[in-house]
Formats: sequence, C-alpha cells, structure tokens
Amino acid sequence: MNCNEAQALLDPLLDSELSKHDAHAVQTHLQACPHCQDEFTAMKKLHDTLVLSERYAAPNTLSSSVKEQLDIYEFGLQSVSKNTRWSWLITTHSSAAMLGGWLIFVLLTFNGSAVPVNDELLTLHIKSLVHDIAVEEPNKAVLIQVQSSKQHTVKPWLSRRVDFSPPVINLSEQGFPLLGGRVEQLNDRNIAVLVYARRKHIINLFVDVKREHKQENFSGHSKNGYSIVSTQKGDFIYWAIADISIEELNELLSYFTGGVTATGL
Amino acid sequence: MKKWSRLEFDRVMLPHLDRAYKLASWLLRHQHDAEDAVQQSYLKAFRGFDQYSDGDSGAWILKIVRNTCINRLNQRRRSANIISLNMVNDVNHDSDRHESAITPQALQKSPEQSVLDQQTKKAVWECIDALAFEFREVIILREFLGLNYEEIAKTTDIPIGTVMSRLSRARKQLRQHLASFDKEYKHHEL
Repeated sequence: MNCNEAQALLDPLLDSELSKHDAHAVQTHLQACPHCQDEFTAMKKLHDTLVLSERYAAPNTLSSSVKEQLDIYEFGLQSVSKNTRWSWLITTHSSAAMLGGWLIFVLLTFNGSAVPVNDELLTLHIKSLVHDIAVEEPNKAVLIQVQSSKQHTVKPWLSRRVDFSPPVINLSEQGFPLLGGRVEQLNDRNIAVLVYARRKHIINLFVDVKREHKQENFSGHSKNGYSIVSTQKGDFIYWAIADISIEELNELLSYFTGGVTATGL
Repeated sequence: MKKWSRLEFDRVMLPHLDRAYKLASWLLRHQHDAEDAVQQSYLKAFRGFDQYSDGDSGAWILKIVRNTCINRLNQRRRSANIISLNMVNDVNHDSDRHESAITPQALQKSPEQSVLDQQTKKAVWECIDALAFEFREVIILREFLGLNYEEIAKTTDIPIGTVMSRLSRARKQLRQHLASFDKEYKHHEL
C-alpha cells in the first residue's frame, strides 16, 4: 500500500468503517510511514477536539412538549372527526363537497344576504378545522401556518404578514396551549389568528386592530354548537371561537384583556 | 402497509429526540428555531408514520428533521430583509454561511487538553459554522451525532462514497480554518 492509497483510507479508518483486512493494511503502512502517521495523528486530534466541543443539549422540556404536540394533534383529529354535526360528511363525502355544503348551510342559517363579521369568522373557523394542520403551505386554507408554542416565533411570523403586531401569549399553564397561528382575510384585510387548544378542542382567536370593523349584534347565543366571544382592549379586537363553553372562551380572552370580562355573543 | 399506533411511534421515535435536537440546532444555529423544527418534524413524522417501514428509525426521523431545517433556512433567506426585533441578539440566526469572526486569542489553549475552554469551543463552533452546508452536515452527523456512513447516507440522501469524500474534505477545511487562527494548531499540523 502506497501513501496515496493509505491516505484515501484514513478517514474510514478513523471512523471504524474499514474491514479488518483493510484496517490492518492501513495500520501497517502507518507504522512504516511517518508522513501518513502524522496526518492520521492530526486527524485524530481534530476528532478529539470536535468531540469535546459539544455545543447543544436538548432542553429537559423537549420530550414533554413534543408529546404534547402529538397529543393535541391526535386528539384534535379525533375531536374533529367525532363532531356530530358533520362527521358523517367527512366519512361519506369528499372534503370539498363537505366544505361547500357546510358553508352554504352556515350562510343560510345566519342573517340573510349580508354576512356579519361573526358569521364570516365562524365560517373561517370551520374551514380551518376541515383543513387540518398543514404547515409550510402558506397559501392553502389551513388551521396552522406557523406551528409553534412560542410567542417569539408566532408573533414575529404574524407581524410580518399583517399590518400590526398582535399580542401572543402561550397559556399552557392556564390550560390553553398555543399551537400556532395563521393569517386570514376578513373584509379584504389580513387579520391574525392564534390557534389554541382546550383539552381536545381547537380554539381560533381572531385578532385585528380596532378600526373599520363594527361589532355586529350577534343576539347573544351560540351558533350550531359553537361559542363565539368577542371583546376589545387597547388597540385590538378579539374574537374567540370554539365548540366549548362561553365561560371558557371568556377565560381565554381575559388573559389578553387583563381580566376585563368579555361579552358572550 | 403496516398500521402503527401512537405508542409504537413514541417507542420507536422518541429515543432519537436528543440527536434530532442537536442536528436541528447545529443546522439552524438558533435553539428556539431548533426546538420548533423538532416539534414540527415529529408531527410530520407521526402523520407519515405509515410510510415508515421498520428500518432505520434514527435515519428516518433525522432525514425529516434535516429537510425541515433546510426548508426553514430557505424561508430565512427569502425573508432575510425582515429581521424581527426579538431575534436580533441571537447568534448567526440569519446566516447560512456567515463569515467567521474568530480571534487569534480564541485558540490559545492546546487542543490536547481534556477540557476545552469556552473560547476554544467557540472558535471550533465558528469554524464549523463557516463550512458550506453539505460539509457541515456530514461533520455534524458523524462527529456530534455519531452516525456511521450508511446512516449519514440515508439521512442526507447521498451515496456512501460521497459521504466519505465530503467528510474528508470537511475535515481538511476544518483543519485549515483552525490552523489559520492559531499558530499552535499549525505547529501541531492539526
């Protein structure tokens, strides 16, 4: 074995990737060749230096946060598919047919030809559930476009896509883990949507700045099994929608309004 | 196609979490992003778990993590002109091939010492960061995650021969980078 042949095998020798026969041949050459031996020694030193230069260690909370995401995804899917109002549609129709039919149902059920903001938001909420979680497809109707439980990730992502910087809070400890966010169009404007979980339920929290939107009178009741709660605080207006109680949505909103009681609509 | 349960997914894939996080951190050089990328990757993996064929689970999940990181790096490049205020202080977050800022003082201590001081470590990290992506990833997978050539090939979708040649070139470049910042390294021909 000459130097060229030996040097071509120094990396796999270092990495224990050579057969016994080849390893023996290279080592025999190294014993007889100071130049190649020096080269191999330098490679080992680099390897030792790298091994001692470990930089990252996973945070203790990583495992639990990954499991939590999986739980929410798994339970969220079950929750969606078990929704009694439209589960039969999921199983027997294409999602497009289901979505179209449901939207017509929503529009006819509500107040005539002019679609109030709250109705439109409810439609968006339902659409988002149908389309499941699909990150990295920003132009597709989805539940989550930026998937993260972290304020510092979701907030800047949203701020780059709407013309304001929405408040974002992770409320895991309060029982509302943040799943992520997305952007929706409402009255030709981009508005921010924060997606939270509550047990096995998905909550869409729509956030916009107070300006041209007037609060529609939604006559004080839940619609078709969904609760919609709205409130205003500071520069912002919030709408929270989910198939949970108005009281629980109120609690969620209270974390944004500093305890100001929201109005069940 | 085999049907997998959540319990099986946890049993097979969660043991790789630490390596997944290390890979994401090294590639993204931003620990919060890395955590998000790992979460996103595990979700993707769970959704596509039916396609997993009971083979090399480590390479399978690491490949997903790698692809997620590449997507994030591409997104970063596209939005490079928009830097959010709360990321400004994070090291190297917006640069895939940033210029090394190693000072000669960084490598004062001999590499033979068993415990490297923080400055030396930082110099090594910056040398690794200065590598092109294709060289950086094989070094990370081999030296920090301990993958063998076959596992690296599966994770990165390249032939084993290419793994070997990239590793070799990456190591040569690292030695050159390190030597250029410290005469002691040159003296030892490291």
